[in-house]
Amino acid sequence: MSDEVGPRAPSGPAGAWRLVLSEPADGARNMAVDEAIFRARAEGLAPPTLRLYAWRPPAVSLGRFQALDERIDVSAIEGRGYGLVRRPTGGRAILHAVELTYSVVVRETDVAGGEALMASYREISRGIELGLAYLGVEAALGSGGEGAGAREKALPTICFAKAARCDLVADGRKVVGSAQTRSRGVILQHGSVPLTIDLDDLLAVLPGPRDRPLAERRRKVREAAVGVCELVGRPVALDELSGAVRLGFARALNVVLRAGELLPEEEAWAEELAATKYGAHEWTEKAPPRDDAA
Amino acid sequence: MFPEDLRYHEGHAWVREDGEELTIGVSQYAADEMGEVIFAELPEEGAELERDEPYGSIESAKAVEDLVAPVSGTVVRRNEAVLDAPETINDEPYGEGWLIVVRAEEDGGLDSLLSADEYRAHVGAPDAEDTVEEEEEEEALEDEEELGFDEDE
Repeated sequence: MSDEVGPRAPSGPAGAWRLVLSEPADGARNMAVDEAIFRARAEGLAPPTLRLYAWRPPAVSLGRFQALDERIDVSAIEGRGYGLVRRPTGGRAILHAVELTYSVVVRETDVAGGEALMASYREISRGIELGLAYLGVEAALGSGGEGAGAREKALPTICFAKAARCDLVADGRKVVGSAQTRSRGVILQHGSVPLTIDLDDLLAVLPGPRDRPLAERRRKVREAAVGVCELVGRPVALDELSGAVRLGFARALNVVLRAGELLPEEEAWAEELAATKYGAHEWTEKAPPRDDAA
Repeated sequence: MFPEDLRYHEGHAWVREDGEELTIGVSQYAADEMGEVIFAELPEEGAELERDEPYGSIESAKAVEDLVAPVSGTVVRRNEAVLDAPETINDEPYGEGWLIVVRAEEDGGLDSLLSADEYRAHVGAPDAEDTVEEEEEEEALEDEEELGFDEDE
């Protein structure tokens, strides 16, 4: 990565970021905490924050405006005891099972190039990229200077069957799927780093277009997505990946990560948001506004 | 890239004056920066806009962003066609990709909008070659979407 990126605004004392290591939680809680931090950063209460978390039980998350249609099998999700939640960010459905999830909440001025969408993706992704490099995985953004090779193999999907230009690709397959939302000069970027991908499980809950043979859909996803363990060639524990990602962020973005807890305000907002928004059917099942208007 | 007859807001909106009505859209700079727009959420007729505050959302290839009001006023109509075909925002940001028409409040902030030159300076206008490369990249991405997992993309 080059160093020609624009001036870096101070991100707190000596470039200090808060590191929040959350206990595994359900989908509503996980999304609520991300939004609570987002709100706290907007109000100047919270410092730039890297949060690392996992999902228990596993859950399917939908993009902010994604239709909840037949390509998402709600009865299969419920039958497995999995959760279903709608994210505040865009993009497509993800099954969060055996994975590490990260979220970064910063002001646009906290990161180099923060005001521009792709530049901010590039900057924030450098942390994950370096973290993966510590495990021996060479990953790069889906396109943009990497040539067409990486993109050509990447297939469209429900999130992990297609690599977009802001996703990290390794060995021609998507290994990190990320999404952003921005409001009032604050960025929330979160993303999913699967350790392993269970294709049967994934296609059961996110079948995609059922008019295509299962074998074809299976092959497409297998060719398009990969977990960290397969890339590394050995079992990698969540803690090991988490440690590598932390180190990657600290070094790549040149920040000091200080372990911290959520602020009382963030806790209160997270509880409220989990109960009234992310845990509510109205939010999860909401049809896109254009359908409402019809 | 930035028509001279329009006024601009730092939040990447453009404004076209037509008598008492103001048409509002997203600048080409922002449309290019976002990449393919896949969804737009717009306020309905009668909604009140407050300058510098979010009035809607736009989802592009990978981000959900606020649409920020360039002026204060009342929504007269919204572009229903763009709700069904949000990619029009990329294709014709200053034409068919307009978003809403508002009737501005008397001191709604119209006078403090930027000229094309001022807005160009604000965003640090990219050169033409960069724009062409971006477009080619977008087309290449679109070409890949043949499987149809996401028909609405």
